[in-house]
Amino acid sequence: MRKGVVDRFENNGDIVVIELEDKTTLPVAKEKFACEVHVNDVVYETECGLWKVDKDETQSRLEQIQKLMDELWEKDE
Amino acid sequence: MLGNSKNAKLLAVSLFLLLLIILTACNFTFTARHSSDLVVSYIDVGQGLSVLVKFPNGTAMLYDAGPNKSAETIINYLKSHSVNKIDALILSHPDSDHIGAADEVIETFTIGSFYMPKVVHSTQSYLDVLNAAKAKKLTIKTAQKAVTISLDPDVKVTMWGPVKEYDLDDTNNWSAVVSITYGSTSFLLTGDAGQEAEDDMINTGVVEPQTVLQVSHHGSKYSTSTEFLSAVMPTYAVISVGENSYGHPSEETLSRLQSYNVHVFRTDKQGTVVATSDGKTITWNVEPIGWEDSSPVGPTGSQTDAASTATPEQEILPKVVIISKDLKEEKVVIKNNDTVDIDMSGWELVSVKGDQIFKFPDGFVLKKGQTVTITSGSKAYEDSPKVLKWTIGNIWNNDGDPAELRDNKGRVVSSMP
Repeated sequence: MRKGVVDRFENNGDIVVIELEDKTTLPVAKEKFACEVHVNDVVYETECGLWKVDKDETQSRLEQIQKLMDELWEKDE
Repeated sequence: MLGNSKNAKLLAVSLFLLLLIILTACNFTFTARHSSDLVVSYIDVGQGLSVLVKFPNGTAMLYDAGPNKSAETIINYLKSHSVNKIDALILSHPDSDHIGAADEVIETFTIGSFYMPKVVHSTQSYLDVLNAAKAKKLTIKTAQKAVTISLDPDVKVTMWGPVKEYDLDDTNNWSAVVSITYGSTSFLLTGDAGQEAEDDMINTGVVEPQTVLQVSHHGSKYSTSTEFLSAVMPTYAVISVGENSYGHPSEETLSRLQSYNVHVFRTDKQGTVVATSDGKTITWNVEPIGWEDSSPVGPTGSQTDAASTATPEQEILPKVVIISKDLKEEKVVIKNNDTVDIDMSGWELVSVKGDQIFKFPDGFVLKKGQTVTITSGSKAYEDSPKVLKWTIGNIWNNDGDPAELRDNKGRVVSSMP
């Protein structure tokens, strides 16, 4: 079962580009998503070939990265 | 007699010293001017972007670091061009085809300052970049409008965007847009900025004509609008693109570039594209692509589209434009953006406030792609065909004075308020 994070949209939103765990990218048609999908969503492929969003993991990952950004970013004057 | 001999010796020593001073000065000037190239390399990273900028004083800037798989290509390219330190690293926006190899680049080279737009991204590539920066004890500066980077006193590096924060789903519009000006040449790096970001930059008034445009988003049809092209007026454009399933570069963008007579280079067809500027002219390592092989479909159909959207007036008027006007320095720069050389006999440059008129000399031809500077005031000089002297009198009102360029039929071809 493939898993990754939505990196970006292409073709005006019709293609969802997923960065898989090995950092290769996979373009997936938006119709393959059962529900609404956004950049930064943690997503996984289901047995029938559709893709789903893991909302909890999306949230915890965002928080982890936001914390690291706050640590590294210079404060704006 | 004795006095004369002493004087002669003194004179000889003085002359020798003077000669020494002149020679040292000449040598210094010569050396300082000799290493005077700005070199911009659009590295062939496949589908993605990575641009190395080497400044005349030897400092280096890297704009974007391609997809993850291009790490070796980028690192080897930098090493083979004697880059040990990246004085400024800019990652335009967090899409993986722009930051994929940045972690390895950070690990390999000494990094001076590091800029990114402040937009959160959850991919492993982005996390790896942050962790690589942390391991090197780097801090990150926000890439946004009005940021300037001073690496070489002769080169101006300014960010035009992002001018504001955009939706998180819209990473492209967050792109750090960077203008690099060296003498009369300039390079614009646009990342993946979309039409909304282009419009926002135009509306904030930062957009100025640039000599070389990095075509945004690998030639996507949702970038490089006609409005943006009209404002940037590039002579050259580089598309960094590789094999992809997104339709980059699009036929629409290629035909827009063609209708603006832009000379286009493509990394997918030509490999790494290198531009070298001496501050006046730009030389390239490859020839621009011919339009017939620019697109698999062929631009014929879209050419008609481009023509039909142009107003009849635009079609008739020669494409010669006033690109800059410095009222204090009394200099106006005019560029021929047309496809042909233009005979400007009978043309006029008008200072609207004082209704003063400069008549171009008979037989003066402005070659396609070239500029001519009209000088006036105490510093006015003539160096035809690059510089023409109007008068040593002051023409332009420093409190504001519109300029108009009229052709030999009296039509206003270009104006600047």
